[in-house]
Amino acid sequence: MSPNLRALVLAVVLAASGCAGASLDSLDTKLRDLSKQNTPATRAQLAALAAEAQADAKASPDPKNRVAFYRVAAVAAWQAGPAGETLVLPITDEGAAACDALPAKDASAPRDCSLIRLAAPLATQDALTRKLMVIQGQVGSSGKLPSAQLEPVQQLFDGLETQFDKVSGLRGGVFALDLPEDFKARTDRERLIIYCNGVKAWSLYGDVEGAPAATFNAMAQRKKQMTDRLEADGIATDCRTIPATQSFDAT
Amino acid sequence: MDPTLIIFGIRALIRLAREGISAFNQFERDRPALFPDGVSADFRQIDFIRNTFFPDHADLLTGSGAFAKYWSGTAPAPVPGAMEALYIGAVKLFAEDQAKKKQVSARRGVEIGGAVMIKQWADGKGPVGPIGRMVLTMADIGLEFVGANPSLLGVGGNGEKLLGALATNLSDMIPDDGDAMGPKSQLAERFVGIFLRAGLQTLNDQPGLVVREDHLQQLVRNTLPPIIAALPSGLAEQSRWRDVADALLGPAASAAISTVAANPTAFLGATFDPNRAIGALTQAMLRQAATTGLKQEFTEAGFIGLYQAALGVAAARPELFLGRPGTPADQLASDLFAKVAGTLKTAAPPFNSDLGTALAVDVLDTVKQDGPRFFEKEGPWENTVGTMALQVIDGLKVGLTDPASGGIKSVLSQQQLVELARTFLAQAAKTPGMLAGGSTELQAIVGGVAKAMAEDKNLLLAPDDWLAIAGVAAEAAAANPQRLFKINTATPAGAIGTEVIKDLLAVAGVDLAEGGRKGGGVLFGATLREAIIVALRSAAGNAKATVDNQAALKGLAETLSDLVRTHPEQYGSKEWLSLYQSLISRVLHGGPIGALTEAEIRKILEGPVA
Repeated sequence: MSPNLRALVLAVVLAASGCAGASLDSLDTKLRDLSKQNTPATRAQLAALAAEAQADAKASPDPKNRVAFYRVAAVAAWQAGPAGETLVLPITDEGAAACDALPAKDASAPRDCSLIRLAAPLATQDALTRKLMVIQGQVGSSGKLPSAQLEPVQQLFDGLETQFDKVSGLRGGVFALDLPEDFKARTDRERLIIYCNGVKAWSLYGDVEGAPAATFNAMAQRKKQMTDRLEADGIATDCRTIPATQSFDAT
Repeated sequence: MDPTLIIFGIRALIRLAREGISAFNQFERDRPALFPDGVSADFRQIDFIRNTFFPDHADLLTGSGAFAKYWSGTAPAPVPGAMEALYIGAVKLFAEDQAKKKQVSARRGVEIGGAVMIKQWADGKGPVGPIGRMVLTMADIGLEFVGANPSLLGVGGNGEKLLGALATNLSDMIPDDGDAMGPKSQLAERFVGIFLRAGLQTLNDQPGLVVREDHLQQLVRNTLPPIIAALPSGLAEQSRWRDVADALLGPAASAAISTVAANPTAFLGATFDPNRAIGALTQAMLRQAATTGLKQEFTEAGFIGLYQAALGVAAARPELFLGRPGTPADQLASDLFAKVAGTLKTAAPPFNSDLGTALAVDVLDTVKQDGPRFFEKEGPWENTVGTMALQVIDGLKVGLTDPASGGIKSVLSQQQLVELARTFLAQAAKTPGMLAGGSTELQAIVGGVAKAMAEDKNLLLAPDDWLAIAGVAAEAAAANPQRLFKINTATPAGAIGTEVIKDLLAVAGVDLAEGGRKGGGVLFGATLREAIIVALRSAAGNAKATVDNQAALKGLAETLSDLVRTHPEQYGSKEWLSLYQSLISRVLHGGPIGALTEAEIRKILEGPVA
């Protein structure tokens, strides 16, 4: 075979196969950089990145590459905050379906599939917590909130409790996969964060003017159920150890 | 240029490029990726207080609770210092609660803060890495190429064909898709597995490339399939070496032995023609080994010993295998192994193991040396081999199972037990009729001696002494049938020979009780052995007199022992034996001798033996 013919064949093969790895690398790098900055502008860019990765996923002929693109899209939509809220669910639904289509389902790409499945409840908890933080800021010098906040605060608690249930439900699958221990520990940490935010929402309910003690106590029982689930998995429930501000130490 | 080479090159290039892209994509997919941390609201002091008190310690905040004055409804009461008091109380309660929950790890859940980068797979898990995929793909392409063009190696001849076939087989087991190569852990071991399988498959498919002889090719074809089946069929499959070992020891070994048994002449030479005694015997042995395995009935060493002994018989006396009308030699040989195995299976321990086989070997050696003259003329001789061994074993069982003394096992080692048995077998072989007509005379002799041996609770005799006594007992009993043992079933042991030995052991026991060596006693060791031998020889020819004067005989031994013990300066072992030998005849014919005077003793010791 002549050198020219060989080059031609190689070019045809490369073009036909497509090199998804390069695109994935580029998207992953952008995701890291934008997440680190965490500004309103970058959050908008993260939403755009999520959409781009979602499009790449749909276009990818390789099932594992498709899942990898969905993982980037899901994390980007989650990190985009309010700008990505409408994107998260469609992306994670499509990503979960892509995982189900893999030869060994989630075991074929354990980290990517686990992240895709965790992204929706974690993004929802972030959204709920942002609302919680806003209400926390409204507590006056008397230490009380107006009674109009009774229902919103209770809904925040309900929502966080639901997300805690979802992530706890995914935990069994995560621990059964060949995932790094870091990932498993991180899953437990996210459960603890949701739990602590739930505790804060419940506590905030006690600060609302005219909060009925019966409802407060009933919510305390539900909070205890979450405590018990965490402790059954060997997790200490000391919320003082979770910092209030988001930190970013990715390198 | 060869057009097929060009096509092959293009295909290889395409595959390599495709695999390269896949490997690159895998690298990108599996590298560490971002796992962000969730948003967390501020956890205030009041949140900690509420979380600690509710719901488990809520009673402390109401009624007469310790902190009731600081609490109102769902929040701290508006009293000075309420928040501080509640917080201190909460910290204390929380610490106490945590101490009770020992299974909870304080670090769990908080050890990783902020966003982290996490890999796709746990260490050691996951598919073969990108570099491994490329190397394996290149190797596969190379193997495919060599398989298609083995002449490239320049080996020539059968070696070229063999390598070509091996390369093709190996290439078939390496998947074209790198994703199907299995996990990266234990890749090397899996590769060894498929390499082994490919090699063996090549041999199995084309044994003619390695060996020319048909029978060896047949051996390869019959032996390899079970081993090949136990090896992994592809790179993704994990090797199960236990299965391979099982296949080697089980079906493969059985197939190999069957192949040799089917054609012993080809494998072992003309000497092993099944129509000859040695060939028939060997074929029978191999068939037994192939169907039941060597270790089911015998140990490996035991079987080989038995086979060697049977070979000795076949070589020295082929007519024993070939001369029976209607019974083929290999059938006769099979029966021999089966009968011996069957006999020993039911034998008393420890003769149900190699010890029993050693006895059967002794019988076969005797057959080889003395011929079949001690067998019944009618009936199969091969049955008698087991019977003869069993008679000795059953006789020894009497002494082996004595619960009081621990039996003769405490006197003799296993090897000495075989020596003892051999002594009786040798005598039986020299004595036509001892086994004839279903006679159990041999068993009675062995049992009588064994029972007496079991009485030697003080270990007054060494194993060699007992072997010498057994030899004399067997010889005397054989020469004087129905006298020493089983002469009179009314006597306690039914055997005067046994009683005489036991009486002498009893006298020796008294000697020992009186101080033994220190007390001047001599009736132990060689003296006791010779005394027993003298007594047995005398009793063999005077059985009735011995029975009638058993007490007087024992009295003679007691008298002599007392004499020697009380006059150590005058009499010793030699004198004891001389007096015993001289006086035993008198006792047998005249009863108790009464007290011995010094003059009488001197006369006996100085004069000729009476």
